[in-house]
This record gives sequence, C-alpha cells and structure tokens, in this order.
Amino acid sequence: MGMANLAMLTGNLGFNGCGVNPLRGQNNVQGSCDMGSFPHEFPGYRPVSDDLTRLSFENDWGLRLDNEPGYRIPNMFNEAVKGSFKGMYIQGEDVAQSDPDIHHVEAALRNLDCLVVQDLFLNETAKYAHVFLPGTSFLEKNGTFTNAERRLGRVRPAIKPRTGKHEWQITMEIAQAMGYPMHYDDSSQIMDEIARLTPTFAGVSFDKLDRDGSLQWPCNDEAPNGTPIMHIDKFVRGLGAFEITEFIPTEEKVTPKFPLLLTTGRILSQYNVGAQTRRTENNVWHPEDILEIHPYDAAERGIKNGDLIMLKSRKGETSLHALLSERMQPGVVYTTFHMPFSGANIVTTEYSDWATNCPEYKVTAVQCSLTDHISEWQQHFLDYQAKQTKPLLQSS
Amino acid sequence: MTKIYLPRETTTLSLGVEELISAIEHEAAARGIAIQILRNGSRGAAWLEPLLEIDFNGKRLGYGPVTASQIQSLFEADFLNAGEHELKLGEISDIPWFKQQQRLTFSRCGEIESLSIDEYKKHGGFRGLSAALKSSSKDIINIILDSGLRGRGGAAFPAGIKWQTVADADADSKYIVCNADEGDSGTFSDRLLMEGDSYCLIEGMIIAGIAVGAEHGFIYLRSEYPLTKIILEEALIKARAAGYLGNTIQDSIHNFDIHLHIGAGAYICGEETSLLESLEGKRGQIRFKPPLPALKGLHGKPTVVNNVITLASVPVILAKGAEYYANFGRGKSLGTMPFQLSGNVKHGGLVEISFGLTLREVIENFAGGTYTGKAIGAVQVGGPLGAYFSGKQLDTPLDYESFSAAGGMLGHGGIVVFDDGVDYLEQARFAMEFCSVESCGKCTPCRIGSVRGVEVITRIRTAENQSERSEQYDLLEDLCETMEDASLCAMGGLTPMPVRSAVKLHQLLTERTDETMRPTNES
Amino acid sequence: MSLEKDLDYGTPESLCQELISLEIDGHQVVVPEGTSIMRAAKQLGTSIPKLCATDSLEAFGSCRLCLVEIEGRRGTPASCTTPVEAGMIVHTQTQKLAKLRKGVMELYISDHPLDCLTCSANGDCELQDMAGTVGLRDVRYGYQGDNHLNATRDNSNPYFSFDPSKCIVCSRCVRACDEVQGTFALTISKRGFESHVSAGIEDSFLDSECVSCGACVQACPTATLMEKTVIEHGVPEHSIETTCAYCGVGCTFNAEMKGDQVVRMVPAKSGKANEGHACVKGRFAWGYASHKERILKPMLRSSIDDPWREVSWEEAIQFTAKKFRELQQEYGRKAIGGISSSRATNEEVFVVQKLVRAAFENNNIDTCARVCHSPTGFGLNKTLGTSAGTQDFISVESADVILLIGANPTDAHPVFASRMKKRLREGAQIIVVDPRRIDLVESPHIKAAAHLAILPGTNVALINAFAHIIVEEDLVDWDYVNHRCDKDLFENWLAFIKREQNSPSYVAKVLGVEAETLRKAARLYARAERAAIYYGLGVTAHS
Repeated sequence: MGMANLAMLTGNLGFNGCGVNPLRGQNNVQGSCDMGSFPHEFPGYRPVSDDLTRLSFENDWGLRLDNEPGYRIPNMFNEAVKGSFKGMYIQGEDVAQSDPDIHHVEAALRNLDCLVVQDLFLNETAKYAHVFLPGTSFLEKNGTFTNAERRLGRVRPAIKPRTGKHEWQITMEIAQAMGYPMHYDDSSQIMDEIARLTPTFAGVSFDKLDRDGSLQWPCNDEAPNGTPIMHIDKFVRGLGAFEITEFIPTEEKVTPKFPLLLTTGRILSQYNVGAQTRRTENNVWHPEDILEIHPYDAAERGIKNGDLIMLKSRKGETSLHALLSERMQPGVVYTTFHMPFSGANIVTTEYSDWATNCPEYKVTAVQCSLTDHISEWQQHFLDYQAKQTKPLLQSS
Repeated sequence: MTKIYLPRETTTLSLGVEELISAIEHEAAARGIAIQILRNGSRGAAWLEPLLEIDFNGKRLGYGPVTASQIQSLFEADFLNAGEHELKLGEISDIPWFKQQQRLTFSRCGEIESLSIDEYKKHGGFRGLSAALKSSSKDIINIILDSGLRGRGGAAFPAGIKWQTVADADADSKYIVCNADEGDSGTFSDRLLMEGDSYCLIEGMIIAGIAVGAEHGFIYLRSEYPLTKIILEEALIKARAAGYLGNTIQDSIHNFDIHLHIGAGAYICGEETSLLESLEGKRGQIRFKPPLPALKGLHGKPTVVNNVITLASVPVILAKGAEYYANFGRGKSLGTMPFQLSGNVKHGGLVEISFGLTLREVIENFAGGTYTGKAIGAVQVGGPLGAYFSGKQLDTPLDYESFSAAGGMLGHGGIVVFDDGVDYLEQARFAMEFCSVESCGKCTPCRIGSVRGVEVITRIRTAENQSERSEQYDLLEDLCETMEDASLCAMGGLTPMPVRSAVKLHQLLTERTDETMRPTNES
Repeated sequence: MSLEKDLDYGTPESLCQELISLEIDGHQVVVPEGTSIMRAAKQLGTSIPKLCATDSLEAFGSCRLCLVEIEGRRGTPASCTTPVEAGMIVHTQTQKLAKLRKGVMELYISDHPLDCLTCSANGDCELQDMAGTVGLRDVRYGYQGDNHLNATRDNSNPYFSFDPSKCIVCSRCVRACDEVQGTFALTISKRGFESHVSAGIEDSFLDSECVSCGACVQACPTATLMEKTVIEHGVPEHSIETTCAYCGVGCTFNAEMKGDQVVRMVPAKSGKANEGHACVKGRFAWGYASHKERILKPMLRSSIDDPWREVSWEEAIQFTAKKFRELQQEYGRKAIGGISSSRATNEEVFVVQKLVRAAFENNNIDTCARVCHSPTGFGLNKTLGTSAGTQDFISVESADVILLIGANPTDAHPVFASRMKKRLREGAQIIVVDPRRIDLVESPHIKAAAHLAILPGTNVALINAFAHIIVEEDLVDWDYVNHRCDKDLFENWLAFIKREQNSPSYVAKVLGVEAETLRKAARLYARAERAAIYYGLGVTAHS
C-alpha cells in the first residue's frame, strides 16, 4: 500500500500509462483470490462475517454457513503439528516444495490422517498423501483463468480429460459423497453461479467470453464490457486512503555465523516448482538450481565457478553448485527454487508478514562453504523419492 | 633558412616521402645547411609526387617526382637556391596542370602547411565562418541556395534545399554528418582535401551546424584512410583548442563539436542511410526512404548528410558570396568540381575545374593521353556504378545534365580511362561482381541478382552458339531491368548502368568482328 | 507461420487521427495518415504480393515484391515502406509490375531447394504462395549457380530447427527478435549473397542469447525456422483458442491439432494480453501434459509408507468422503480443510471453496497465493478499495517512467517484459529496485535510469523514502490529492512520512543505497507525466 500512497501522491492512478500493478506469479493467482479462496472472504473479497453477503450464499447454496474465518495455511500446518487438524484436500499445489520451511511443512503433513492430493504428477506433497486424484492439464480444462490485469480468458479443451474426469467434477463428487448436493452439468454453469453471487463478475458468462474474446473485471451493468483501467475519476472505495506503512526491519539479520543474505527468484525456462517445465526439454537451459554468489564473497571462501557449495541457514542446509556473478552485490546470494532436489526452501525461514501471514521468502541469513557431499536432507530426499516411486514403477 | 614543402599525404607516403625527408635531413646536416621541412597536402598532381617545393623569395618552385636517390644530385644542383635540375618544374602556378584549373575548394590544398591554423587563416580560412557568425540561419541557407551548390557525393541534390529541410524540422537535436566514406574506385578528392586542408572541412561543417541549428557533427571516415584519421584527429584537437569547436565557438552563441567515426569497411556505408545505420552502431544496411534523413536521420533526428567536398565548398561560398561561386559552371551545374583522373592515363590526379569542359578536353588537357600510348577505348565516369563512355561520347560536357542525358552520371567525379585493348564483357562482369561483393544484402535484386549477373555474363562468354548467347543476353537485360527498377538503393539500381554500357560496347565490337569473320558468300 | 491465417495487413496499424483519402486500382480508400499503401490496399481487400512484410513488424522493404506504381511519381516504390498521401493514385497490378515481381521471384527460387512436396512447410509457406501468385513458371538462371542449398541445419534448440538452405534472408526472424521479443539475439551476418541469419556471432541457437520465445519461428515465411513437432507430425488441421497456464500474463494461444494430438501452440494475435507473442514456456513447454510420469488413475494407500494402489474413481471419492466425515466426527468440524490452486481454473477453484464452506462446513480454505501475493491484496484493498492491479498490460506502452520493484519480468513474465522493453526502447525510463542486477538494468538497447540495489527486505523503507522526498521537495500533485483522497487520512499520513526515519539520509543506511541516488530516482518518478509501478514477489513477500 506504500506504493499506492506513492501513486496517489503524484496523481498516477486512474489514467492510462500509470497505476500500481502486481506481476502475479501463477496463471490464476488473481482468479483464485477472486474466487474466494480465503478463510475470511467469500468470492469477490467479501468478509465471511458480513451477514448480507453470507445470506446471499446461504440462499443460493441452501444451507447455513460459518461466519467465523477459518484457518490460513500456516494455521492449518500449526494445528496439524499440534494434532487437532487431520484432513486436507490439496488441489494442484505442491506445498511441500513451494512453502518456506519445508521441515515444518513435512512435520505437519506427516501428522495428517487423510491427505488428498489432486495433481498431474506425484509431487513432493503426494509423498505424504493417502489419496491421489489425478488432475487435468490446461489442454484438457474447460473454464477461465484470470490474469494479472484482471482479464478473464477462456481455457478451452483441446483434448478430453486424459483421466476421464474434469477436476470440478472430482470436487463436486466429493461434496456429493459427503452428503452435500452440489451439481453442475458443465463448467459454464459454475461461471453462471459465480456471476450470480459476485457483483464484480455479474456480466460474465462463457457465452459472452466466447463472443468478446476476453474481459477485464469488474464486468457488470456499470461496466458491461469490462474495465481495462480502474479508479478512473474516483477510487473503488471512494476517496483514496493514505495508509501509514511503517517499515519494520526483518528479524532476519546477518550474523557472523550467517553473514550473507539469501534471496530467491525465477529463471525464464523454468516455472515455479518446475512440476511442468522440468518434464520438458526446457531442462536444457536450466538442469539444476544454481547459487549465484559475488566473486568477492566467493574469493573469501575459496569458491570457484562450478564448485559444490553447502548453503546453510539457521533452519537447514542444502548443497548447490556455485556461479560467480556480479549481478549480486557482495553480501547477497541468490538462487531459484525450481528443482525439488535443491530444496532451496529447506533453508528459508518462517517469518510471516504481520498482516497476512505471507511467508518471508526473500530474505534469509545464510553461510556458504565448499563441500564434497550433498546435505543430509538431500540424501533423505533421494532415499524417500526412490522408496515412493519404486512400487509405482512396478505397478506400471 | 629555406623552407621545403613535402606532402604528408597517403599517395606521397606510399611513394616513400618519409625516406625522402630522412635523406634530405641527412644530406643537409652533412653539408651544414639549415633547412626547415614543412608538411603540406598534395596539390593533386599524383604524377608529380613526391612533389618537393621550396619557398624561394616568396615563390613556390617545384621539383618532382623526387626519389631519395636523387637527393644528393639535387643538393649538388643547389636546388635550395632554385638551381637547375632535370626534376625542376619551375614555379608551381606556371605548370599547365595547375594553371588550367579553377581551384576554389582546393585553393589552399598543397599550398599551406596542412595543420597550421595560422596558415589556414592567412590563406583565407575561417572567413566564411566569420561571415556565417554574422548571418542568420536563413541568410546562410539562402547563400547556399543561390550559389547553386549541389551534393558532390554523387546524387547532386541541391545542398541548400537539404539544409533548409533540416533547419525547418522541429526537433530537440539535429546533426551534421559528413560522408567521408569515399569508396568509389578512382576517386580520392575527399581524402586529398581532408589530408591537405582539413580545417576547410571543419569550417564547412561548423557553418552547416549554424545554418540548421545542429550542435554535433560527425565525420564518417572510411577505415582504409589511416593517415587521414591521424590528420583529422590532430586537426580536431587544434580546432577545439583554438575555440573553433566546442561551446560558444569564437565567443558566439553557437555550440558545435565534431566527432570522428571510423567506418566499417563496406562500400555500401557510403550510401547515406547505410552510413547512418553504421554510425548508430548497427549493421550497415540500407534504410528505405522516406523518411528522408533530413527529417529522420541519425538517431531519428533531422540530419544533414553531405559529402566532404560539398561541405568543404561552403567556406569559399560564404567568404566570397553566392554570386562569385555561381559564376563558375553552367546551367544547373554551378561552381567547380574536383575531377579525379585515373586508370590508363599518363598523368593521373585531381583537377578542380568549372563544370562544362568536355570529357575529351579534360583527358587531353590534363591526362596527356593513355599510359600505354594506345587509343582511348572507353572512359568510366562516376565510379564503379557509372557508365562506360565510348570514343564517340567523349565530347559530352562534364556537367550533371549533359551526363544524365547521355545515360551516365558524374557521381563523385571519378574518371577512369581504358585504352582500346579493354575487354568490355569483362568490365560488365566486373560491374556485377563488384555489386555482389559490395551489396549489403538487404534487397533481393541486388543480393541474388548480382551473383546471377556474373553467372549470366560468364555464360555469354562461354555460349556455344548464337542462340544460346542471345538467350543469355535477353536474360541479362531482364535482370538489369529487375535490378534497376526493383532494387532498394542505388547500389543495385545503378549497377545495370556500367553493365549495359559495357555490354553494348562489347556487342558493337563482336558484331563488327562477327561481320568481318562472316563468310561473304553466305547470303 | 500458423494454421489460423489471421488477416495480415503487412505493416502495423497507424494510430494517427488524421485521415487520408487515396485511390488504389480505381477504388477510393480512407485510412489514417502514416498507413502504408500495402495496408491501405489490404483494407480494400487487395493483396499486394509480399514476403518481408508482416503486420507485427515495422516495414522493412527488402523483398521487393510489393512494388507499385504511383501516378506522377518516378519508379516503382515498395508499397510497404511508402506511406499514403492524399489524392494518390496507385496501381498495384500493371504489366511492368508483373514482370518485375516475376523477375524477383525468379531470383529467389534460383537459390531455393525444389523440395516443396517433401518440405515441412508444404501448404504453409509464403514463398510457395508468392511463386504461385506471380505466376512463376521457369527459372532461367538454372540451378547450377552459386547457392546456399548445402548450408548446414542447426538442430540445437530442442523445439525448433533452423535450416538456412531454405532461408530467403527476409530478416523477419531478426526483426521479430528485435522488435517483438526485444532480445536482439539474431542478426544477419556477412553481406551481399553471403548474408545469412546468425544467432549471435555465428553461435548455434542453443548457445546464443536466444530465449526461445518462438517469435522468429512465428515470423518465418518458409520452412527455415520450424517447430520440430511440425517437422515430425506435419501441418496441423484444426485449432482451438485457449489460455496459457503458466504465468500471470495469461497469453492467448491457438492449440493447433491433428486429431487429438497437439502439434504446436501458436500465440494468438487476437489475445489482448500477448498480441501474438509468447515465451519459451507457453510456446513450447507443453509436453508435460503427455509426460510418462503423469498419473491418470486415482490411487489410494492406507499409510504413506505403503505403495500406491490404483483404484476406481468411485472408490477414491467414496474413501475420501468417508474419511473426511470420520475425522470431523472424531476431531470436530474444523479438523479438515482445503487448499485451492492458483493454477486451476476459476470454476475449479470456486467449487473447492464451495466444497469447504458447504460440505466441510467451515472456512478452512486457503490458496497458495498466500505464499506470494496476499499482502498485495491487503494493501491495495485498504488504500484503493480493491486489491487487483489497476491497469491493463497495454497501459505500459503509454508510461513515461516505470518503477519496477522486486520483479524480474524478463524471466518471470517474459511476454509482458517484451512489451515493457519496447516502451523503454521508445524512450521511457525505468527505475529498477532489486538486490540483483536483473536484465532490465542493462541489456541490448535497454539501460535503466537507476538501479537501486537495495538490501533484500527493505522495500517498504525505500517506498517511504520516495514519498518523503516527494513531500519534502514539493513534487506532490496537490490537485489530485485534494480532490481524490481522504483529507484526514492524508494529514495523518503526512505527519508520519515527514518523520526523520523516512528521510533519504536515514533510509540510505537501511537500504545500502546513497541518499542522492534515492532523491534522483524519486524525482524522476514524481516528475513524469505518466509513471507506473510494477512489482512482484520481491515486494510482497515482506512488505
């Protein structure tokens, strides 16, 4: 919101060429947030505690809904470790690899009595699962994604679901099996329900998208063709609110033992945890995660290009090959987190953003040193990997 | 102490002028004679180089061409006091080669010590600039328009109109670019001027800058001119030190500086749009026009791109007035043009004359006939893309319109003479080959056409019968048409000019031969 | 090349407001000033032959097929590079033009392999089309002349091959790399007849700077640059428009198919997010969908140490439902929950949260967006009233100054990065805030006005310092603040931002960036006519 303050202060909101824009990581971060994937909010960012909103859902869905916010992901894991949270349904998300502090996540997952993973591949999380429900690739899906500019684009099936079931059908059938009568004939009916229950999507339908190509929400009676630029003439909330944004230094501090700061990022050829891109020829550009280190820091540690390095933080350690790079300033090292084996997140810490529990991915105090072996965690990873895939290979 | 002038110039350098100087200094020291050796540029009489001149009672006496082995005999003949010697040429201004010229642009070239600003000023230098500094942009451009000065690089576009276009363009910055990528075979006027009178070019560029409102000039110098580079670098440093370049030049409100850029070694970079690409650090490839460089040139800004001689002709026009300059020449070809004689000639070199003499007159008056002594076969005027003129066409007057009407062009003023032993078909093939070697490769007719042209001409030569040959002639003509009309720039577009003219001369010859060889009883 | 033959106007649209009327082949047409004759003709439905022109690239004028005659003008100018003028009378088909075009095509084909029938671009080749269009029947030069038919193929890129023997040196690939992608990896090496496309300085494609975005393959009018899947399977027969599932740009693609097999993914020109561009992931890395490790049948196991057992859908679903209900009975309603995916469709996500709220009867639903973007949602929502980005992507093409914070778009959002780079090449300036020297700090034809290499985790301090400087130096847009913002909240904030702790000299130490550098960057942002902020994970993960 500091950035929004800055933009308001200089009159840079509500016009073409201006604005404040997040570059979303995954294809449908925007959409999954819009769709109410929050313990405290319904679709359209409306609090579960808001009676009127809740009533509209209750009327449509035909039952009373909880007005108390549920658990956030870190809460779920904490409760799982404590033993009060026992079952999870995880749709297409490899929490065991992409969440910071893998040790904690692993402990939580191991403690579940029923972990259901719905994905394309046996991912890291599936190693702790009891049920695996095969998902569909985008080539098989029929629906919509919402990109970082709030644009809803149609996802049309090029081929039929190779698993025999659409993912929404799986979810629907679980609901039915649990005794809740959820029913759709096809995914366009889901969008119709979204439009019915979410004012900013009121004007959206598959028909309209097929006709117009794509639409940027809000799309409703006020903006029948969608909204390319928001906050023209006035803000959604009315008057712009300057919010105080106190800088709170991270608790993650360099120390003599961990004198370097680790920051993480992405590389062009790989995508997030690499579940897809790792299974393509894209590996030719990026076969493994590499630790970028400034030549100055490298020289101090006797590290040369290509050396195997042990990267240690207070949380854990992992080994990576080194690349001497002046892209970094001395004192800062960098890596990507595309490969499960590198377990870059094994070393990251669990500090959370105070307001939203967003984990502090990008800063971890670390030390690097030459090594001749992989870390204990990596060895464990390899052993466990072998054990998990072996029976599978036999069966197929 | 006698002043001896010896050129610091590329041709003279290749003829051993430095060894000559060592020999003179050595000999003078041995004889205990005090001398002062000054370095001028070449006056352009290449056949007299190394031309040694002495300042004798205010007169310039010449000896040449001198070799190191002749130094001793020159001293023995007391050349420092105008002593008689087989190499003695007498007073320079009396030598017919120079006497017959109208040297406006090259008036100082060879006369003065080339890097001395004082000398330059003493001989009329910077008078044009003084006049320009007192004039408005509009006035300067009007003077250039009235003088009739046209681009001397080859295209002969009126310089004043180009300047006017740039001056009128609305932009935060504008540029003057001097095209010194002198690539036409048989041309060297740019180099002689830059080596012998570089301040003249600098002055011309400053005036252009003032006229159009540009603060930066670039000289794009061909990479094959290393000595010119050294001389220009020195000249720019001195001009800057003397307040002729930089901010508030000569305490005026005008800022102007010149940057020297060494070319990429490609003929095509002499084409203005390619040159601009190259100057921007890109591959030297043709840009299409419009937009004209005058509106969108270097870095997309309005840019004057003028040839060295065009810019170097500006100071004399500003100093002496438009009318003075326009009184030379004829019709729409006003002023003077430095022609460069080479090839099979007795006397090669540069002559600056008014437009209007015939080709024959120039060759006879200056070149002294062919080097081999044979009759003149053909003359290629205007560089490698110029047409071949046969004996009958030698009476064409040397001006833009007459040459254009005769199917040729003056280009950059190169005149290459061939005697009657020349193989025209080989010349045609060479023209295609030149195009294939120098083509930038952007457009298809030039890139592929020139290679096919070489092949077709080769097949004309090896054709086994008349029908095969005439088939190839037809194909060549179609190719020439495609190249002429469809090429992106003058490289491919003009290559048919030497090809067609040479082929025509070849056909005339072979038909004659065929006729003489044809059995008389055939019909 | 692509199966879907989008109308190709040959040259880009002119955005000029002025309209010009002219006559082409006897028909009047009105087009914006700056339109090429080629485009104006296409608007009338007249296709002028062309090879080097395509409307995603600036006109180039090299193939010389699109020549036209204009009354009152000498010569035969190229219609792609000649802008329309009022009252112009243009002829696109004359005897002279027909002869010239045939002459040019004859030259092209004199250096081209005659293997159309077995060529991977057969039926999908502009050179082939043009030979037909101009009526080429004979190549009188023969095929014995100098040629490039033995040029070596480069198969180094895993997804496409480069066969220089089929190259017509139209430079479309080079221009696509420059203008569309902005990587400048390709060039034409040597000159004249030796001119050839080269990745870097005679590198292989794989070893070059090429980022494998596929723009060159898309632009190639022949079989020179060709997807390996097309070489293997042949030209696709039908196509389905869909949206890429990788990053947040959401490019529109045509999945080009042969039966139920995807042959290639081609970025759609109609896609508003990508306008015909793509990156290596969306364009090529879709093979995972049929990877052998993909699981296609439901599986169960009673313990995570047991091997998996394939089961029917019925069994898997019943097992899940039963187990979940049992857990709720034993540990309470809140003992179960769900995580939805930012990779799934809106519809799939919606039903998961509905499952949790309606069937699990609690609100234990969260998303992986939690690990990246939730602070954004929180922050923007509080300030502006909604959490989403404020602009469409194309907006960046109007920005004068771009403030990029903690994002590395050339790697993470490549198609948007290309748009941004295009704007930067047009003269916009960029301030990069990142601990690392990312490509946008300095890459071909891009140089950031400032790179603020702050220490990780200090974004908020930086943003506050910017605001402090803007207030202190009175670069505030008072009119905007007074009319559009809440006065009390602003006054409150003003008192906060003026504090010493937000001053550049204080913050400089926190960031590891000099105060003067901060000042200059803040001024640049504040003084811009139009300034845009783009930010990524680097910010939200700790603001």
